[in-house]
Amino acid sequence: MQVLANIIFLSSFYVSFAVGLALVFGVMRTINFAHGEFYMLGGYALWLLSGVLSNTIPDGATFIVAMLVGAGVVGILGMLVQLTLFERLKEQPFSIFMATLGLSYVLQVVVVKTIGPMGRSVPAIFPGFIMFEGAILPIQRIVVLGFTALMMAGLWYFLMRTDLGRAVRATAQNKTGAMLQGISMGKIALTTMFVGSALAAISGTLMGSVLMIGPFMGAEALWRAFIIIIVGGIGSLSGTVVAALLFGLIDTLMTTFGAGKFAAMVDAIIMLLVLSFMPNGLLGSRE
Amino acid sequence: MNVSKLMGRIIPSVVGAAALLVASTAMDNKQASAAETLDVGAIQPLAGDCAQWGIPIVRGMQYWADQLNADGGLLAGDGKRYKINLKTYDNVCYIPGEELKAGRKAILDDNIKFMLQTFTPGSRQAIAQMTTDNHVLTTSYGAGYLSKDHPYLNGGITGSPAAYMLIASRAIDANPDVKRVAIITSDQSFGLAAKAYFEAGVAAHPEVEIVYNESYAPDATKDMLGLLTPLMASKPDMVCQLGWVPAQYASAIETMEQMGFKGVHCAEGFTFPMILERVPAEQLAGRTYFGYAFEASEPTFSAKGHELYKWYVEEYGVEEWSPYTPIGYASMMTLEAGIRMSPSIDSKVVMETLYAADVVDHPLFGPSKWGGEEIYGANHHLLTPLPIYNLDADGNVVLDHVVDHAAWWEKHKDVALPRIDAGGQVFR
Repeated sequence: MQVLANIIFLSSFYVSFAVGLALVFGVMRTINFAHGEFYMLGGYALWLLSGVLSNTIPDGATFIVAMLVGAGVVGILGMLVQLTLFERLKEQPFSIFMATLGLSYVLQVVVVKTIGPMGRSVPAIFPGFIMFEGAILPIQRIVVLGFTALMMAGLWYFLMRTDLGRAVRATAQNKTGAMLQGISMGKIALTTMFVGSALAAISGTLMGSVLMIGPFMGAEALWRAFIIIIVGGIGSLSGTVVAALLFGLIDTLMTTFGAGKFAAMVDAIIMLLVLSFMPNGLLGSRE
Repeated sequence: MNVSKLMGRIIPSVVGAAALLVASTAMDNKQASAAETLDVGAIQPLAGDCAQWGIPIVRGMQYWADQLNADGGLLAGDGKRYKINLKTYDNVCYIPGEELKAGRKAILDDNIKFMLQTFTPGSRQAIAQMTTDNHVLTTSYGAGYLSKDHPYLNGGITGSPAAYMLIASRAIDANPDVKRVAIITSDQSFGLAAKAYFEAGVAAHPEVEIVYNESYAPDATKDMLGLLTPLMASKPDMVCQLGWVPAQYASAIETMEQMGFKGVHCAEGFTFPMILERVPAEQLAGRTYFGYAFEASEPTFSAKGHELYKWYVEEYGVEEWSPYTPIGYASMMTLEAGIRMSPSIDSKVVMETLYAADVVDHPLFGPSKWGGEEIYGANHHLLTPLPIYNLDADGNVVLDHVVDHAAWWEKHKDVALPRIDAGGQVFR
């Protein structure tokens, strides 16, 4: 039971982090290498607001405020990246790669210089745990799992039930067709970058409450997210969820049975196999 | 931290960066014209997650240099004073190939003759030949890898990995109820060294068994719950751990405590400000054994060393305090002792003077003898006493015990050495 719980917790982390990256790539066919740093900023939003708001509002409220503030600020930062980098460098994928890589370094250094290189942790917001069928389930993890589910539900509602979301999906499916329908590409790009970046920040806040917060936490998580979105099928949100569950399962089982040190290698081999035999990923559609 | 304080850091940091650029250019020009300057190199991780180790170590070294420079420079055995000019080089995360690149830059390009590097065996081996060929006296916060063929490498203090052996042994001595020990370390070169030495420390207690002994890939530590589930299933009384960056220790300890662990934690160092945000001090009191060089936040072991802590907290804030800061500081003092004794500033002469001394009067640890013959084939490891610390119920670090490294080794080497050998850490 504990192993099952661990699989669910780890998969939820993979989902929350990778889904924003998958959304941005799916719609804009652009990889944002600063996505990890957007995630990191979400973590620092929690740390900062935990200090500023301590003893003024309940800890649970601080957690929600941090998610909202982090998502808002980082979402706007994402829009700025769209306007200043992606828009100006469109059709130049290598330049976008270099520019966002550079941005990721800049954001890391800004945090190191202003806050410090040492990681931070925040006090347990929802301390304690519950026992279920012999498994230990930390309440903080359960809360994070719940918010991840809420985040995914919100994204689903946005994409499936709102006009703007439908326009985003239409653009992802067929850009030319969407343009012929009068959809503004500029507006969709801004919306996608806001949502994708905000999702990264929310993920950072959620995981920052459980794991460490540090200037380089995003860079570390990013490569795993790449594997997940490639295996899931680049641009496919459902594929991302399936791949996150798959790697949550594999990584947890390997760790449980003492082979955790080989997890990175095994994950990479799985990615290579999927690319070899299913070039569009598990649920990706042919370009 | 409040917002105004943070903004107060952001704005000066931007201005400071520009000023630093101008100042460093000016400083380089000035130092170029100064006759009595001694360049000292530091190879450490300066970016990425491992910078959480490297930057505090370099800050400790900078404090050491600043203190000497404030006194007019290091008074060498040749009667001259030398201002210390610290130069830093990035090894990414103690990766041997990166150590080699950094070593080339320091030694071949910048002509560094005195240097500090990691104890990580793979990294030490990577530049061993270069230090020998170019006569670069290279110390470390521990031994890791030494060789009679590479006499310019030395272990400046007991440090890593020997400290792991002494901490594990001390924690068992102090807790006779400990019968089952779990060891978990990273699978990097330094983690594998730690594993062997933790085993060696446990081997000194035949009544104690190792019930879990695994390495993990640092990339697989996103979720401590998954990583620690099999460890906790082994029902240990004591967990010896190494390889996590400071905030991960907090996460690991919190997870273990949530999983019902009531035993002893042992490690090279704990960053308590982070840990105590997650776990109450009264819960951990008397259960956390650690020691590396010395813990400067604890005032009784060394008043001089405690000054480092006061400076650091004033300069960077208490949240930035790291148990790794003192190790660079303490290790440089071994070089300092050698330069003070040596009739010449020539690195070869300094090295020979240091090894010729039966006893090195270390400015922090006092008289200490060279050792390491059985492990490294050469007595190039300065066996300084190791203070071991614990936590009290008020959240203060307290001195638990000071281990005489040389005496411990003499008593237990027959059982400890085979474990170190089995772990691939004997380099005779």
